[in-house]
Amino acid sequence: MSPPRPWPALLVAALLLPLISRCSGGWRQDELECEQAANQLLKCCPGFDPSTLSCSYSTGCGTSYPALTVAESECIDNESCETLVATGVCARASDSLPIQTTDGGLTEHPGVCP
Amino acid sequence: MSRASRLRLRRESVLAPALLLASLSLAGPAHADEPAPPPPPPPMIIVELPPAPPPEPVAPPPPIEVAPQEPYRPPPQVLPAFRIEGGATFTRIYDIPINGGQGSLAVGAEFPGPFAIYGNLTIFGGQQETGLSAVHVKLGGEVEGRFGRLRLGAGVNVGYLSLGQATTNSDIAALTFGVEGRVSFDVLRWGEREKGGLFVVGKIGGDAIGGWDASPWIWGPTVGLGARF
Repeated sequence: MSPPRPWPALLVAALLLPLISRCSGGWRQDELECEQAANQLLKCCPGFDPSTLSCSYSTGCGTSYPALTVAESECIDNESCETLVATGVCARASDSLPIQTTDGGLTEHPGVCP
Repeated sequence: MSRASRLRLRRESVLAPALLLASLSLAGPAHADEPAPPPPPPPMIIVELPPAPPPEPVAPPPPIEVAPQEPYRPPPQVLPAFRIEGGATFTRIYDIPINGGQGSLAVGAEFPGPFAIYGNLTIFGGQQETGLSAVHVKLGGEVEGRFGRLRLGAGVNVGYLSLGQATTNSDIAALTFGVEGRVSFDVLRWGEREKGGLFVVGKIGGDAIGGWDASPWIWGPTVGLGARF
């Protein structure tokens, strides 16, 4: 009696794992870029609390987007700390709220950067 | 009887005893009880032969054609192998660079044919664009073809990717499913069938994060050094 071969089980697992993993939700570009920007603001802006910035995308009662768009996040990543402070980006980022859909449209979102 | 016949008869009668006495005197002293002495040896005859001609040189016999017999070699065996390597990795998700270093341990088999198979464990640690952490652990398998010192390989893997976040105290994590191609060149080789070696390696791979459908990929090259035993 030959020992059981592990390959069929591994193959099945490899095919099923992507389906299972989908339950955790995909990673969006605006979420990841927002986290990069939050870390940049944390390093550059005195007193900045990154927990006040929402970088998550969620669906439920409406759809909530990260508080920074991809363009704003990339802008923050590419600026120096002095510029972020001098141009008021740090202050505006602290007041930035998650972008939410209301009645099919986006909420007013004042620009953060530049 | 005539006068001549009488004379001849008288002469024979006188000569016969004389010849008998003469023969007895030639035979030596008379010893009736001693054996007769051995006869004298035959005369030695010396024959002088002509000198023998010098021996002609004899050519050695032609060598017998015998096919060289190779030493017995047992049939090639599958050789177990162990590999360790490390390098610098430059990946990205979307436009976000994630750079760092990775180390890999692999256990496999070098087959008599020009290929090998390995199972590997790879651990990557690095930073995202603005310094957030990134860790990627992968388990995979690969097939590698040998072309002298050059090796080309391809494999698949399953991984676990964790990225640090600034806005929360927790990381985000997901399973990954990847493919990878590799090329290596043995700078030094040693061991049975030159299985062992010190090599430089280049890899490029991509891993789908969380599934194949509409998922971002983390992908990029790795360059490094390794040793195989």
